[in-house]
Amino acid sequence: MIRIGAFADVHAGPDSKGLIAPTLVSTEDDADLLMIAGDLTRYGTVDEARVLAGELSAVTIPIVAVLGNHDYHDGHPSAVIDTLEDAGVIVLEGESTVVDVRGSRVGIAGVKGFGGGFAGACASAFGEPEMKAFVGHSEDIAMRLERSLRALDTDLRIALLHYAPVPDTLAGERLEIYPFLGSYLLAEAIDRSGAHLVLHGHAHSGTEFGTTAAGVPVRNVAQPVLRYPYKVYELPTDGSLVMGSLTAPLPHS
Amino acid sequence: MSIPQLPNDYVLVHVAKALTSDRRVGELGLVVTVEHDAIVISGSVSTESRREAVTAVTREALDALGDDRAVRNETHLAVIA
Repeated sequence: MIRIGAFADVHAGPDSKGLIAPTLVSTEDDADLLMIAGDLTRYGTVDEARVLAGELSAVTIPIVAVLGNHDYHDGHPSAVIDTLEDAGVIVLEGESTVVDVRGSRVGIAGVKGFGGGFAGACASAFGEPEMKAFVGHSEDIAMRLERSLRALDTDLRIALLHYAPVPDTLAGERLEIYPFLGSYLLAEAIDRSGAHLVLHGHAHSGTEFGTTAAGVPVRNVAQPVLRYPYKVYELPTDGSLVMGSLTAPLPHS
Repeated sequence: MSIPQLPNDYVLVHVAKALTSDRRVGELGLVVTVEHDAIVISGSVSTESRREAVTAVTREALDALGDDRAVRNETHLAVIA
């Protein structure tokens, strides 16, 4: 059994100093891995990233994270990544990593994701260049997610996102803002590749549980949804956990 | 109560933008509504200092619009202590 601790949307800032670390003291007893699904900081400043790095320094299990939209706001996402990686956090942006847990290989593919909406109510790359750029960004990220998932030949395969891949976990949010909260392209990439679990954040008023069309469990781990510092998901490694994926692959666009 | 200079729709957007851009708060997902004669802010914030700042930032945004309606801060902390 692999225990995945997860949370998102901690929004660290100067006023978070000393507040986050105490909430994570039991992670090494509860979990084998800690995953942070974006919005690590409030505005994406290096100072905020340093605060979070300090708060995470007492965590002894491997930490894997992706950035969220907040982490891009000040325009220095690379500096945020560098600061966290210097503190030992694995930050994924269109990449994957493999962590060995008691002989089982856990593969994690991570991207921020982006918006665009969901089947039946999604944006199209049509018309103005700004709209094409918006949808193109989402398509590019989904493509990188699919590539990094496919590269994983591991016992478990996990997709770590910030934006939502399905509308299920947005229930509670206003319908009008769904296109800003996620994209079906992420779910399609996951279902093409196959995965055992998807974790995301971003939707503070959403709900925890959802699934992709192919049956991959999706969990919204935004702290305002969980109302706790983190949640632990237990995944069996005895082969009993079926990897959700499409039996008939969709044609590539 | 004085008559607001702007229709409520625009007032609410101004307040929501202030709560996102003002670095005392910096929250994107707060909900701003009008209930009777008050501007109500709800949703979650990450720290107590940000929760306290919601009232001040909203007050300042309303003052800038010449809107003297009361502010009701119904935000809560994201994580249960």
